[in-house]
Amino acid sequence: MSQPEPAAAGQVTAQQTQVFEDEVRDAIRYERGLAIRCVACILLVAVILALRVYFFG
Amino acid sequence: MTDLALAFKSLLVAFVMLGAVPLLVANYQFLLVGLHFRRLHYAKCRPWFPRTAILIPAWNEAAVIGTSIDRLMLLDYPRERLRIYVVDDASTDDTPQVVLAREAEYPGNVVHLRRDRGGEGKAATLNHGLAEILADDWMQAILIMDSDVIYEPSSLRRMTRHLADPGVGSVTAYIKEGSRPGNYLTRFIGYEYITAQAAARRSQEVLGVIACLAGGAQLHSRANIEAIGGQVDTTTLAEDTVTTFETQKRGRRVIFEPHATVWAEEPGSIVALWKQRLRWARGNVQVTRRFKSVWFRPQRNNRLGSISFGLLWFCLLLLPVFMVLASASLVILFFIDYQLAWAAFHVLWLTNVITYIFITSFTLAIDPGVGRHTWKEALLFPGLINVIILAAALLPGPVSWIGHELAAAAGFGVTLGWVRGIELFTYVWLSACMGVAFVGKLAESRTFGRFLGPLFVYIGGYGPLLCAITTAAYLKELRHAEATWDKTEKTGKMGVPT
Repeated sequence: MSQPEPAAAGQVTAQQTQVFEDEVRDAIRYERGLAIRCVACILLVAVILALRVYFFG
Repeated sequence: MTDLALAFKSLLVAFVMLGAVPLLVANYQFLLVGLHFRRLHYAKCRPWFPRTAILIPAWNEAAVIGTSIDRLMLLDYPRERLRIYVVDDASTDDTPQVVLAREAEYPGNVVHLRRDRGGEGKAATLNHGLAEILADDWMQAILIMDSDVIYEPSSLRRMTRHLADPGVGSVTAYIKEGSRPGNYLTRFIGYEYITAQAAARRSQEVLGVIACLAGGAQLHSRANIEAIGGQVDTTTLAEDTVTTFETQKRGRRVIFEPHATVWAEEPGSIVALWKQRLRWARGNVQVTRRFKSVWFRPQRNNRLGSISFGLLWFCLLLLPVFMVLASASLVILFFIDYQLAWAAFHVLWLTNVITYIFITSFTLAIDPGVGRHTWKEALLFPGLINVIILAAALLPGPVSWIGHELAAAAGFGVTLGWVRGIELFTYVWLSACMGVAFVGKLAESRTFGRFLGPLFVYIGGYGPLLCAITTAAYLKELRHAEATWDKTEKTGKMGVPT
């Protein structure tokens, strides 16, 4: 499949390009943050299981 | 012990362990969310503003359609590249007048299409609009949405930028529950939508396959809508899922844009939720049958046949079967080998505990904004009794001590018979919770229903209620019950956070 003609997307202003770049940067940062939150939640499970094994087993 | 008895017990234990499979798959799904940042599509995106036709099917939507159009006109998108087509499916309320007023207010941007003979369902209404829109070549992309949903101003352009990549056929957005003030049920749905949309669609994207474009937010390139025949499926109750599958079968990618937010009003009563979800669940059963040649058969040009996607799909579809099998097996084991039943139960519920803690905490972390007003429903999603069982599985000593203290305070001692009875109850509850949640539906329309309905859902669980609906869908499909399009009533009570 070939790349669509730029004209098909309408005229893009410099401001729109800037907004696009800012939004993409924010989105990437958010998605990377999710990976950290995922690890934090795994650690939470590990801590709770450890407490169970050592203190409430 | 005879070989036969041993084989029978092994089979029962296997059935109990089978109950852990959906839990393990759910954990796998949520782990994939953490990898979503590695599968982002932004490198192939550009600011992209194709001429977009917005297609809205409407039947008696006077309460909501005007606001929806007004909000669409506030989209941060070049207005000359936007047209809203409202397909009025022979409405008998003020829908035509409301739409015609907006047509006059936004000349060139709003088009009213009237079907004189309606009642053929949403898909037929959409096809009427698609035929009109495809008849001329103005449209470069088409957004199919519901009349009650509200798009945040940036949402459409956040979706269209993915179409700059010609390999993308469709894009969907993150639908959030937007009823305000809402009630306990809309808060359950709000939480559920983080799991079913924000989380599940991210994980599906990591796998390279999307299960369903949200019916209220599906953007297609013209090439894609033409490739799938220029119309949507009318033979199932899940035309959006069929469109999603057909798009991917033809080798086009479907994208989930989690940062394009769309707000929808969801059912505020169990009866309305049941009607809506029964339609969805029956649609999923029909899709499973229709695409039977796809499952677990990897293809070169799409990932619909991948093992991972098949596991995600069938674990959700067959969850009630897993629950009933595990529960029945535990009850039989209880009577023929008590110790074995207890051991199997322990493994199953510890898996449940891990899943509950991981998924609940991660879900709330994925969308803290929604999580802040749905955290109580998040904690009680499996139901109060199941949460107590989870606590007992995690902390048997303290929970047992509390139980003994409560019994002593009530004036009776805890005997071995009582303990066995409670254990048997927990085995039965694994499947009985679906029935209790279902009783909530029955109770809702009776005396004290406003009190009893929520009570049963909180005790039985919202998750088990969804499983009960899936079970009802199996039965309807097995009986070949008539598949009618029962529209969900909308009131327009939406509050979109700014």
